[in-house]
Amino acid sequence: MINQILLGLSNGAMYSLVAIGLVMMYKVSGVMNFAYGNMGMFVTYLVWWLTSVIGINLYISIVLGIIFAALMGISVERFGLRPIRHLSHGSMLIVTFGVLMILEGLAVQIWGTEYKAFPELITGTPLVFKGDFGIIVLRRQDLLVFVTLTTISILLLLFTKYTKFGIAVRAVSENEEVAGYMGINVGTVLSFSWAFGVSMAALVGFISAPKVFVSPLMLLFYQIQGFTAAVLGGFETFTGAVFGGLILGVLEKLVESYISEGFKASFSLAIIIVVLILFPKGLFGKTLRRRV
Amino acid sequence: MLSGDIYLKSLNVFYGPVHAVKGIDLSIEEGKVTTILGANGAGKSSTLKAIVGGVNYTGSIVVGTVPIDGMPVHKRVENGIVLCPEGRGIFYTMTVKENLLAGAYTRKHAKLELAFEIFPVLKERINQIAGTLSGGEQQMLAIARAIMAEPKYLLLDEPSLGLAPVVIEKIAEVIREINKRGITIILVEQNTTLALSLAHKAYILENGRVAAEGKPDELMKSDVIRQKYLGGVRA
Amino acid sequence: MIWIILATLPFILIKNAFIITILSLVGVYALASLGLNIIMGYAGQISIGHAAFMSIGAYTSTLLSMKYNVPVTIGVIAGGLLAFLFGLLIGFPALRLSGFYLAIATMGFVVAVEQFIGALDHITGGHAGLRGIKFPYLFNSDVEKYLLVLAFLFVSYVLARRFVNSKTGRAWMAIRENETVASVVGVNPAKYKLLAFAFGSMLAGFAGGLYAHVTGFIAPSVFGLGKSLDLLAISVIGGMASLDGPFYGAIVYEALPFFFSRTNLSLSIVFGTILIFVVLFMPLGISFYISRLRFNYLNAIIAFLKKARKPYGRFIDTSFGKIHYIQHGNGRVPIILLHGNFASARFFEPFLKMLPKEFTAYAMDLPNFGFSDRLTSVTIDKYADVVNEFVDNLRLERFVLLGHSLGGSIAMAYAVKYPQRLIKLVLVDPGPIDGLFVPDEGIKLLQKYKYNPDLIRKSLMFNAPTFDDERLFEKVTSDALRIPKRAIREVAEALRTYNYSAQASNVNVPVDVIFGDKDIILSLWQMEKTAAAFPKGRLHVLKDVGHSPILEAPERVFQIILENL
Repeated sequence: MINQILLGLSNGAMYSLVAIGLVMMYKVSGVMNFAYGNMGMFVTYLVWWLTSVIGINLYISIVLGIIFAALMGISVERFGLRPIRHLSHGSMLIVTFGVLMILEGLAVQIWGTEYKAFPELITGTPLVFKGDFGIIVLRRQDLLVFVTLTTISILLLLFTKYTKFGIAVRAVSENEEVAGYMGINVGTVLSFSWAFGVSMAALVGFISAPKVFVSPLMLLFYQIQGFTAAVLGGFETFTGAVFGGLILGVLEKLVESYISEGFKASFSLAIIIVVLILFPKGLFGKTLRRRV
Repeated sequence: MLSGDIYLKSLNVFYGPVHAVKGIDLSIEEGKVTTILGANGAGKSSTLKAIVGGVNYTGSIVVGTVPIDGMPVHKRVENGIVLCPEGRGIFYTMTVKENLLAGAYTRKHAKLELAFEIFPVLKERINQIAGTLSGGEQQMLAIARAIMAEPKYLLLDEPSLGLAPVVIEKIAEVIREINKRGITIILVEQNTTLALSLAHKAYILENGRVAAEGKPDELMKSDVIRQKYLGGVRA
Repeated sequence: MIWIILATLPFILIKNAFIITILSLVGVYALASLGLNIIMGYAGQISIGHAAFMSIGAYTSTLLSMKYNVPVTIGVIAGGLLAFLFGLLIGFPALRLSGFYLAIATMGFVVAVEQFIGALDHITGGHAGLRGIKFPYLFNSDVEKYLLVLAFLFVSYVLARRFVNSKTGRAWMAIRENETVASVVGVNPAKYKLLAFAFGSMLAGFAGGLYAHVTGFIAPSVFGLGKSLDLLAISVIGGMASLDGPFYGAIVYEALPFFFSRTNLSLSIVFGTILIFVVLFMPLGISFYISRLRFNYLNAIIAFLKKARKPYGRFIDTSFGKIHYIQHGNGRVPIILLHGNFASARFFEPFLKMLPKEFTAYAMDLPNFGFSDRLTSVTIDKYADVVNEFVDNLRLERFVLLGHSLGGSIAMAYAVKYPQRLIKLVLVDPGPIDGLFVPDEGIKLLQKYKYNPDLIRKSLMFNAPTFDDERLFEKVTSDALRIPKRAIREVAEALRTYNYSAQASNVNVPVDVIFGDKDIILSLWQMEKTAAAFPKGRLHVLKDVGHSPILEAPERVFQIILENL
């Protein structure tokens, strides 16, 4: 049971990472990025290609991948979304659908549909703890996920609370027009949010790739779960995103072990719908504002 | 940093098909309080937003001798032109301190004491979430936040909106105090009594055009103007 | 018309089964994205789960016809109805969701349906899908499939058109623009959103069923997220808030593979790029450009064809050029009739038929209108001078002057200049005594009338709500098409720049102001002011009459003229 929960938390931490990226982009730019998973997928392919085909060191490739992810985020926002900002919300969503299609097509075009193996970022035997509570098995992979999530959560907290730019990011996400009057360069903040968001997608891609293999649809499911996690968390706060992801991970693991694995997507859908109806602001929602 | 009087030359503001400001000419004297009056939709807020670069406009805005058209908002703020927007527009989910820090975004070092000197009450509430402040305190925070940008020109958009008379008086004092420190003030108001009591010069806008201009006492001498635009304010 | 061409198309192409199949698929996708247009374009709800409803329709109709030998048409209808029910089911929670939340929920739905159908492999054939779906036919299966698709498309199109042009459609658009405002004005957003969602889903259900029979093969993955996005792209590219858009979008979608078949380029790249391009640079989609083409060129051609060419009256020369007029009756009292904006002497035809025997009537085409010459730098005063020369040339000493609308303003101008020549002044829904304000935006709109016979005719009809003789409006419209484009602006500007309030007090003849209380241009207050400006002014308000009492209540107008004559 405890091990099931741990496994759930490990999956959930991944969903949290996805949700953090989504929430960052949404909070600042007001756009839900439906191309998110595919952006991460594309960068993961790129890193796979750099390491396996070109033969560059994995970690250097990852750094290059993150840089590429950030640039991709910035350019999609700058050239695909900013021209129609304030014109139509729906159109901005549709642009992200377009990006989704293009990236999927590109990945298939360049690398085909075969699954590619991605090297483990961390290897080693699982850690085993014994005690009154029974035996707990912690895979190294899980450890990596937890450490990543914790680090990013703490850094994000410090960044938004205590740095000038972090405060500017929050100011823009709360009221873009007024933030502009404070002399905050809204464009820079928008670019940052997309650079950050897509980098998170890439990170999720790197971490999950050894398990799910690199393929055009590798992150689709993560994206849906990330949405669900963000919905659980209320879409407005990073804390919500983190806990939403963890809760979803555990719930999903329980459903999987006690009901069936084939209905994972249906389960998420059910969660989304139930949460949105019962708690339209999420389980942790305390927002004062709604985007119209 | 820019200095000198501000001149608006045949300023036009369009929102899609709506022609909000129709070629107005204004001059704003440095160090003084200039007020822009008029009914809802007369083009007052649009004029302020144009000065700070928050809306697209045609025509020209000159500070001293320097035309600032084409300068983005954040550059204008850096150069000391700061707007305190209508409806307070504070960051409700952030603390008082964070609001003030956001205001000082363009300055290397945030001088919180600047704000506290004028608004001691904010010091007590420094870690409170801004959304939980009272209406008057929120307005003060909004002005304080604008002060944090160390403006030379402070553009106030309806600071008295929705406030109790006692609080309005307090706001008026604050505006005088700020002006005494050498900050040029452009005040947009619907509360004409308040605005005329503060201003050295007033413009009255109607349907996006300047309908009248002059010193407050001159304007009030004219019966037509008093009846039509100033809601029968007594001289 | 276009439908008949579409229906005969397969018989021309009968040798080419491949093209017929492609056309059938165009129809299928047009049908599905017509449903999506209702949901997205009209009701403004973004759905990326539309293919799931196709899937439901496809499996229902296939299983019904394969396992129970249900006729194809019935199967497809059943599939549509089931999709309708699912639309209600998924639409119900969707009522609470807006914007991207709904998009997420529908995305979840499409993935869930794909998984679910794949998991039920004993019924649905699982992820491998179902092959060799039968299609019983009489003579040529491809043609019949095509005609079946076309029939469904036609019925759905007509239904959708009905909906969109009804109260429901307006409610949808109100919700799309602003849900809160819509609910304030009494639209129940929940009900209408649900209806849009269910109806749109039903069309997808039909499309799914038809797809199964056209291609003979279905699998869960055929109706996945990818297909949903393709449908969305078809909608957007074709034009979301339009009924014809899905056709163009579907044609692009089906035609693309042919253009790119040699380049080996993945279609999802091409289609995604087009999608983004359309959103950024032509957000109203292809349909907008096609309708603009129609509006600009087709209408201009129609306008050219409809323009009146044959004068039907006499001409008289003045220093303002030739004036075209008609004369009627031979009584002792002359009466001059001045028409309104966008009208002509012909406007008075029905009126003249009822002319009492006391009168001889002269109805002129004002310069710039009908067959009279062009007048430049228009003012109302100048028109009054035209009238003066006109009556001089006709050698009329004293006469009754009647002006309608614009003509009313001119009649006033004449009256203040030459009061001594009037027996009486009759102003029928005239421009007010101090001018008629037309905003700049309004003038721009009026200028659009120049090439649009339909608009002119409609606005004439709106301004004579209780009169219906379409033939008269057709004729007046054909005259109105002769108005020079610049004159439209000049006349509107002239109308807002006059004011005779002061001089009116010198007009010592009886003045009858007649006002139809259903007038949508003028207000009672303006008419009271106008009547009051004249010492002998009287206001007559006609009940249930619009802007044109001349047409709508001629006998009442004559009665008023004859009083105290």
